[in-house]
Amino acid sequence: MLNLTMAAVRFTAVLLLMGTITCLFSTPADADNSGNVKLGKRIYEQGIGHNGEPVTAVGQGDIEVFGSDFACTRCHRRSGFGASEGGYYIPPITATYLFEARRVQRSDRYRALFIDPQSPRQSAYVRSPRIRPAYNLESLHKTLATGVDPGNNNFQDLMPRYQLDSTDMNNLYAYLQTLSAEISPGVDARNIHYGVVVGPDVDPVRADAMLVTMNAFVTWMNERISGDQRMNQFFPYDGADVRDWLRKIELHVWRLEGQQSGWKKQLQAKLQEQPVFALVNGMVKQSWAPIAEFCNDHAIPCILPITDFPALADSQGQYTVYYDRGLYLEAELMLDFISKPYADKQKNILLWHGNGQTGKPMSDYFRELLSQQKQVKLSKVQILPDSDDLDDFINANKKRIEAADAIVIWPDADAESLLETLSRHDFSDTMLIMPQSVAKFAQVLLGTDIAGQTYFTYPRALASGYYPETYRLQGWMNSRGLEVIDQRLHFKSHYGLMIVFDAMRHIFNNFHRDYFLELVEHEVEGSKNPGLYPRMSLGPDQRYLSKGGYIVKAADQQPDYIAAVTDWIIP
Amino acid sequence: MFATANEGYAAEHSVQPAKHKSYVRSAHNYKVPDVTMTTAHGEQVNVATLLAAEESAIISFVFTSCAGVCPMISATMASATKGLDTVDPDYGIYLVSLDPEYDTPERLTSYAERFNTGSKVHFLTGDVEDVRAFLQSVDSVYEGGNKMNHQPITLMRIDDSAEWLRFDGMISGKSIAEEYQRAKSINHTASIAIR
Ligand code: HEC
Repeated sequence: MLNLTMAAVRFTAVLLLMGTITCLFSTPADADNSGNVKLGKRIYEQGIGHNGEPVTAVGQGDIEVFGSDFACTRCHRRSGFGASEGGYYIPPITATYLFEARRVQRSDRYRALFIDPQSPRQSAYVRSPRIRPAYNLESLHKTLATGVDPGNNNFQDLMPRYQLDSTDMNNLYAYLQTLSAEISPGVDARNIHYGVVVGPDVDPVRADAMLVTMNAFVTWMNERISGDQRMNQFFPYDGADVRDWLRKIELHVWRLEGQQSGWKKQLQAKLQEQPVFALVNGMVKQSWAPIAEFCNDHAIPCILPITDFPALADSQGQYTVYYDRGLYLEAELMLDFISKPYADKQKNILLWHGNGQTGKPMSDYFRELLSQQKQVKLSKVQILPDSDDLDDFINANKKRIEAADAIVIWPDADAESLLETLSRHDFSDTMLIMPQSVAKFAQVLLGTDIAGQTYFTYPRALASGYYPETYRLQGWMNSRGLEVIDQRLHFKSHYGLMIVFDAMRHIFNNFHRDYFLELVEHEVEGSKNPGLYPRMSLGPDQRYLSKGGYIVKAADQQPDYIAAVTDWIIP
Repeated sequence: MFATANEGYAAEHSVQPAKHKSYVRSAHNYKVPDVTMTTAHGEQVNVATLLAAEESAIISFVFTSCAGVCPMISATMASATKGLDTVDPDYGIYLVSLDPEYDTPERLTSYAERFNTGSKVHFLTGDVEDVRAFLQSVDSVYEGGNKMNHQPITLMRIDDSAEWLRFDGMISGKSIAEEYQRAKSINHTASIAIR
């Protein structure tokens, strides 16, 4: 009898509790309509309402704005964490921020205070966070329409006033309740996990050089982090909440096997086994496309892979950030350089290419480029023979060579012997142009007849440039006893992780992949450039950190035996 | 040189600017640099010559991938043209790219179409160093060398003898037209140089 009563009491208590919870999370307005998250996302990201029309808003006091350029994502970003831009602090509007009362919370202020140099306007805003209750459907609807929040604070003009009908509002509200509501996989209480992809046929020496440099960086960083983590146990007060967000870096090398077509499956299996927060660096010989697709599918940021073949795609929604557009960029530089002089004169070219992993795809790409313009005409495409037969090949093509304005050459390997052979021949006044991989051997051309007519694309910083960070990094590598096989490769391996680390310093405890990617976009421009490129920068949704290149020629008494014959060209 | 919140002069002139301080006005003797830049149509132009050829010129700085502030500036400029035309249609608006390597003439053209900026708004891109020189000449180099830290500014020059008026902050299209009218009327009626 007694037991039964107790059970009944307990049951009632549970019911009561449930009632309270329901009350907390529902308002009269959304009782009859639970919004459509997908359509809400469309409003957020594209500014398109449920009827397929752009939603309209009033911005800057008096102008009507609409559509994707004034979708929430433009300012508050895909993650919802907002941004610091143009001296404006755009606040986070993720589920956690909106549907909790705004208090003075240390982590938010830290986050905001640490975002780069700030304007007086911005720091005043951040230092005096406004207090407001949690939003509900009704109050959010009102706020978006009026620019006055439920704490009665007036918004700055930059935040547009949106005219949303109740269906759109319900949908948007439903989406905002999911926005960055949970932290991303790959982070646990003490560690953050990153994947490093290594393709099947990369040069093992180069792959090792990358991994050794990365491990040195991680060891170095983790020592500092574990010092801070230890300090937390003993001195839990001073700055403890900040140190509490520090995570040790753990790298997982994902070695791929076999054909490209099988890579995605392998990657999925590896992800299942060990969730990672992001991919960093990585190296493959062929196209990065399957890995880029995998990253897009799982919304995993993939930071600065070392590849000649990035996946060329419209940058929106892409999760891979590249150094540059690889060999595709070089092809465009070549075409630009051939077509520029006497722009109104049509040029005839020959295209010689290897038939392997580089020559074949690049010949295809070059022909595609040619088909989109009229200034440069392709007279003939020919496959480069083995080096033993190259002399005969050139001799047999004498007439064609003389008739052409330029010969574009995309070899697969053996660049040095290619240059040696070429330099034994007379190319009349026909220009030869080749990718940067051949420029490495430019010294071979010194003093030969063709040195003056042979050009190379060079989409990177010239060795003659001055980058103080170079010396610091060399010192860093020396002091760790790293054997240097290719300075640029080591520098890239270091730089990729450094950018990741810089972004993580600003993420605090907001471990969301989209936010991380946005921070990476932000960090690159102010980062220390070790002389990889003349300039490195990104912006929202930009995916290539360097955008152009030089054309160079063999030159005596120059570092690397090359000298630029053009300014930095953006094709 | 002076700087006042825009409500400061509301009393002396009939035109009422926006109620709250969204921007700050000042006047300066800037000399725009003698550099060559590229228009959205791919034409090479000398900036100093180009601006000298305009009766009145308005300048702001944007970049196409900029998240929220630049779309607002661009839309504002497009909307300002109506008011400006009513005051005096003899002017040109120039939006200079802060990200010239990314903002190719093609990108700028499609950006202009997206914001429907019309025939009075022109875009300029070019060499990174030249953009820096431009920013330096108008005292607007952004902090930390990061374009994301750029501050919204609008510059306005009424004729080739006048100084540049500078508006720091987000200024509305309506206020731009009002400032234009105000500067023009001061210029014409009293030829008082704003100091
Ligand atoms: C052009 C930039 C821009 C766009 C586009 C924009 N916002 Fe904002 N938003 C801001 C700024 C700036 C603030 C800060 C306003 C203030 O507090 O003065 C803000 C503040 C907010 C706030 C208040 C946050 C809080 O903690 O009280 C909410 C909610 C919000 N925005 C929602 C949205 C939604 C939803 C959309 C899309 C329908 C949107 N915003 C589009 C710039 C923008």
